[in-house]
Amino acid sequence: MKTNSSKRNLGLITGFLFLGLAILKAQTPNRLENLRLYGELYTSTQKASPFHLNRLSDFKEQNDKRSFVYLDFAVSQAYLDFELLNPNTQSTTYTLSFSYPFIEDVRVYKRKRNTLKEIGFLGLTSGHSPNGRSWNTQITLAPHERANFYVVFTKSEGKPLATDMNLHTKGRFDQLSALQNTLIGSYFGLTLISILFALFIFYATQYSNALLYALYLISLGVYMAAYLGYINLIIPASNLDNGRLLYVLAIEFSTLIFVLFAQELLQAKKYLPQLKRVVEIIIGVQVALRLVFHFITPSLYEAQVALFMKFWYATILFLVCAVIAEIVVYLRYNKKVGVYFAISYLFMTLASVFMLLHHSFGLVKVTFFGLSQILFASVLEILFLSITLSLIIRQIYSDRNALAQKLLVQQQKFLNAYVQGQEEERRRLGAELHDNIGSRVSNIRRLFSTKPNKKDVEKELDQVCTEIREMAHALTPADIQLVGLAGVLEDLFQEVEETEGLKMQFNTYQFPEDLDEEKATHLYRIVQELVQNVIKHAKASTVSMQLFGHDESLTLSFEDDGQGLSATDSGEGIGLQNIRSRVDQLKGQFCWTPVHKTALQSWSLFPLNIPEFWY
Amino acid sequence: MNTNPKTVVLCEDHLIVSDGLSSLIHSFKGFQVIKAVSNYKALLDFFSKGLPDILVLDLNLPDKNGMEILREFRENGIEVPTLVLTMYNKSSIIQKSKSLGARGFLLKNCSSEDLEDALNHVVQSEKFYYGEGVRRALENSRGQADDFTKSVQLTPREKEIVICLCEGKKVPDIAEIMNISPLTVETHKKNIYKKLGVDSNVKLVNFAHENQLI
Repeated sequence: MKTNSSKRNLGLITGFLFLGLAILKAQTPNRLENLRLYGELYTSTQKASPFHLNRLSDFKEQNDKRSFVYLDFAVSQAYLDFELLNPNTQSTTYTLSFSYPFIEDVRVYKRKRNTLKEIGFLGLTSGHSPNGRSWNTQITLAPHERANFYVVFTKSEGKPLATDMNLHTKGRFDQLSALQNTLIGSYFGLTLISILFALFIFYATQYSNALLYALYLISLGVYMAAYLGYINLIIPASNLDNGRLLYVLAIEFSTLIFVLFAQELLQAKKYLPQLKRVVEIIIGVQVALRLVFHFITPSLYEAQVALFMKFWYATILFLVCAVIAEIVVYLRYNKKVGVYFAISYLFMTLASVFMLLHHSFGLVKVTFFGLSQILFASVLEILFLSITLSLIIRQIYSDRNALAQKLLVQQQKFLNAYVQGQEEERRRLGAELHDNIGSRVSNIRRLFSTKPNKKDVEKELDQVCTEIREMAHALTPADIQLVGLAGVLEDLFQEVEETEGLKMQFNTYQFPEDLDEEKATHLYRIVQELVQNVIKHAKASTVSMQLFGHDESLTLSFEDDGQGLSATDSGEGIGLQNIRSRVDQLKGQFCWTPVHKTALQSWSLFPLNIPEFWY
Repeated sequence: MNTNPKTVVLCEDHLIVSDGLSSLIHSFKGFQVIKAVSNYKALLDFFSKGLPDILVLDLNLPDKNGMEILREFRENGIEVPTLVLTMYNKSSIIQKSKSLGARGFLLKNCSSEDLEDALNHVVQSEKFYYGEGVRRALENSRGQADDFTKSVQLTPREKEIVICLCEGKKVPDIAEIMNISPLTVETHKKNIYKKLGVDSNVKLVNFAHENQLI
């Protein structure tokens, strides 16, 4: 039920966001201000330099219904003409502005009869910085003046151009700029908070992906700053083209970081390791190619642009699909985190696709308050990504707590078992002391109180000695330090041969004699356990046991010719569990192979490899 | 007869035992306890003045145990007839004491006659004295079998693996055939190499054929 309600909340939130944007959008269009709707666009694949009224015949009417200026890859020059009338009784200043920050060369001419007078020159090649976030220029008309204007675009081939073109009275332009700057400022504020949040998360939890997220936010911020025109304001006017370089770098870098971030967040390494490897290769190739084409061989880039762009689009498409696949797989394991991530991914992808369609193909235009949709989509993306990150951290924490809790319970269990075992041993020892030795000693006392027969007393005392010795030996094989592991095993096997009639073959091969006592004791107990197993279950007649000392390990091999273990004897007895835990403590490996084959069967064998020097 | 009593030194960390032994030995003819010490260091200090005729040595001692003391003696050329007196009655311990040069072995619950016999035996004979009830040490116990016999004692499982290896089969195949894990086969192989003193499959095949192991 909880997930249901949170899903509903999620739906509501996104719904409201969309609705809010739609309402805002409905209030904005002021069609009078979009110059593109009031003039025709003429394009040419040749450059007429300088632009002249005589050359107008070189241009042909583009005749498109777009609400913005779009010049495709092949166009070199274009112009738009319009007529402006000042209805006021005093002179009025209008501001002509362009939304795209990387226009190369735009000149504005005022027509006087048959001559053109250049009244504005802007763009990357104009040699001066824009006088605001966006490129703009002023047009002043005298009272009731009516005049014709030409806006001439010149651009290099191979780079499409898509830009809004607006004409506002100066007052309205300043008003709109203030609004836009407020929105943009809020955006960067959000970015900054999110970066701090991510860094804090990294500091607090050492979750390294938070660092990647911070890096992504930074590169996204740089990209946005470039796209919104701020970079043009801070780099020298003579090198305005570097702004575009930074823009391309920021796109590629943020794509790269985002993909890596997504892989990590969606745990692609765990769920889709092969896809992850392919994605990493593709993204690497894509980034490298784009950089090479863009900066190292621009001429080649221009010549092969169509082919290259196709390839670039294909890789982007692949990455989009790959991340979608990863999200789908991830949703199966972690619905909550997956959903939030999917939403933020949806915004980001849609916004990027719109951007691509707008700038490369002139297909879509979505703006709010004269600002591209990508800004608003990015706000939503960052919000949802930050939520995703918080959820992940929360899960990491609750997992850690659960683990700590489990460990605590486990420890308690161990302690209980230890105490219980100790208690058991005490009880056993107490009983042994009381029942056997105690009764024998009282018997001796009784013998003394009557007429002490020397023979009887001696016999009783011998019995007591033997029993105490056996008890002591059962408690710790103290003679390990006297004769070493091989020695005590020798004794053990001698005893077993005598009491059980088993034939024990025992050999050592370069087994270290001065093995430390703790390890030797473990091994001794293991062999004891194995021998007990054989006696109880195997119905064997011969046991071969060998100790090997290898360069970096020891091997204990144990075989018997018993009946083996049938398939129905599933599950391991306490004895085997005991052996396993001892082998674990020695950091060894235990292979136990029950087999049944021909006459001589060996059913238990275990090499014990200890990956460290014991010497 | 009573001309020169044999000197005895006791090395035993339980005072009551060494006191009892002292008085017991004093009652024997021809023996005199000249010193009772409780650890190796004190023993060495005393030995620097001169060696006794007999040393009665306990095995369980603080710091160095009896076996280590015997080994030290042998390595440092200290030749003193030693009688081991202990609670342990295990063949391996007896065997080891003997091989480290002790001259006799007594259990702590022996009779006083046994102790006297042992003392007399140790001064007169080089032969190892077994106290009452002491297990006989095997002259050639399994752990000490000579290298060659030892090396060709392949267990049934090892034989199967040697056969497979001689047929040129690889470890994963053998694991599959025998239905055991490759790690087990690999370990067997390592063990067999060690046992036969070979380090390659070719040498293994040669060794197996020369010695008709299969």
